[in-house]
Amino acid sequence: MTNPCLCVPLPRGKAVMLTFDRKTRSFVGNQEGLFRTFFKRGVMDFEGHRRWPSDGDEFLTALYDWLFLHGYRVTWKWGSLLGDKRPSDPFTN
Amino acid sequence: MSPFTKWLPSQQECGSDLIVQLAGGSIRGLEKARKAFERGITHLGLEIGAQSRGEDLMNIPSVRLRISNAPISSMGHGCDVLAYLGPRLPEGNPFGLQDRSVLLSESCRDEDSMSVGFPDGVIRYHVPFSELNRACGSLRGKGLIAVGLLTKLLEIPKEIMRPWVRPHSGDSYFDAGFHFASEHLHKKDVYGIPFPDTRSTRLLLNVDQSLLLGLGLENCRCDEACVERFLQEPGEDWMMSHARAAWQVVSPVRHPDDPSTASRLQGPHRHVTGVIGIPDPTILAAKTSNAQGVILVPADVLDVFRLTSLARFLRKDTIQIAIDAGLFNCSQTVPSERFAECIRETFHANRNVLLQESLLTQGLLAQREGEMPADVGFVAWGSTQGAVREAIGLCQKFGMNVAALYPKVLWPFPAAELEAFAATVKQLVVVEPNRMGNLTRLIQGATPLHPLQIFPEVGRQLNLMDIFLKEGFPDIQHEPKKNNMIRKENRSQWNP
Repeated sequence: MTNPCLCVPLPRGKAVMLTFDRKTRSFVGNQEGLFRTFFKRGVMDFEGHRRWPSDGDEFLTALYDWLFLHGYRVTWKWGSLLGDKRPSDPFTN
Repeated sequence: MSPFTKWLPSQQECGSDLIVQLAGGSIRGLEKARKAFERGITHLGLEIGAQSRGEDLMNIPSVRLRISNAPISSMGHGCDVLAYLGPRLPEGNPFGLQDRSVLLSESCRDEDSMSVGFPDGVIRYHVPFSELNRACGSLRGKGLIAVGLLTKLLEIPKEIMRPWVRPHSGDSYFDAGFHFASEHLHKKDVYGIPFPDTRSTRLLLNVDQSLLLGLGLENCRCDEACVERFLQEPGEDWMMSHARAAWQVVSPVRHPDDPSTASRLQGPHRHVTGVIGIPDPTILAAKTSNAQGVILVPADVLDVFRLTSLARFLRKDTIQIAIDAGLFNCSQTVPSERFAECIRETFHANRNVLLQESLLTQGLLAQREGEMPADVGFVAWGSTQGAVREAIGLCQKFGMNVAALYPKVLWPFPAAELEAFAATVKQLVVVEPNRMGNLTRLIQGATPLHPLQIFPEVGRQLNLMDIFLKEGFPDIQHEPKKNNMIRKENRSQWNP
């Protein structure tokens, strides 16, 4: 099962990433402080619904829209979770 | 900040920068290159911060330069352009090259850089530094050859950079580098230094000059007219004349407990002392704890000048200005107007006791930045404050609720200020300048607080990504993490 991941590149090779593990319905990220902010207050989607982490894919989609509308160069990545052979690049396409 | 490129206009409001490193040559050669480069960039009208490092990074001497169109508060992270002057590249990517970084080096094969652990996507230019150097007749000109190369490669006007090459016998090395780049290097990267439309007046100051001028101000009889002259004439003339006067009244001193790298400079009335090269200022605090001394920790080059000139109004026998390792061998551009403000501040205080009191209560007060209340509150002393300021800016752009406290005084320990700050944040995080963790111990000894800590990576200085990508706060407290990522298995935890 492939898992959706949001990736916001930062200057000089760094990135903020959040992946939704569909199997366990949990999130994995590398910037907990940032995502916890969104987890706590939820994210409004285009249809006016506030999406919470328990909404899974819908939450991630709403977060993509929020980041995109706020000017971040956010991209989707699809792949397995970390714990793979290459921990520095866990999202193999 | 995103890097300067030649195909996107740099925007003052967003801020762009470029991180250039020269490494692997002789320290003297690198210093010549650094001076030419930093003066040329200052003359061009951009901000620059520069730092020479000799002992870390696998004992490879290096110079790090950060060029920006916005004020620089730290030396940044990563590396956009590396000119490696040595014969063989070191292993393990110690200079922090990333995808699309530029590498200028002797070895010509891509496999050489891949085998030493440099990341994919590094853009290579082969430069026969040794051959060019021999052709110019010496063995110590590689640094200036690199300046010539970078001038061409980064599209800096040659006539701006060349006059700053010292001694003038170095011109031939600069020209050799520039000529080689013009003839043989076909630009494959996007980096380019912009030519600013307006040039604001700024001074290039290093930490030693800043300390000397601050100590010398104690004996200075200058008045308002002198400050006006500073603003009207080239600031360098004012600095030179005041530095000469300061040398007559300050004295280098030696403390038996100091490490060999440390040096001290004492003011004319012998109660203000600048201490440079102490790896950790908390060591001074431990020695001062029983005495009536004061330890001030400046955050940047201008802060060294400001705190040193203010310190003489403190009615204490021993006042130490502890300049930490993050500022060692560091120089920065400083806006002339802000420098003049500091001089005016102290001149006026000289004549007015009430003003002295307010300067001491306001001027030495810890600064607070960010939200109140906040989820996370960082506290940082000294040069790490620069990285924290940048990290706070980045966190706020993403909508995070963060704050920071920047104390100026390390001893007597500002426990009340710290506790007041801690009361307004959910989680207090101490930003340590090194991996010893002494600041946290100091806090735990003086207050009932139990903060989390952030450390720099081994052998490197702390940067904003160390802070921004740090995990474990605000809710997961005191849980050591085994890897870089966090997994939450229970989905109900994420429900509001």
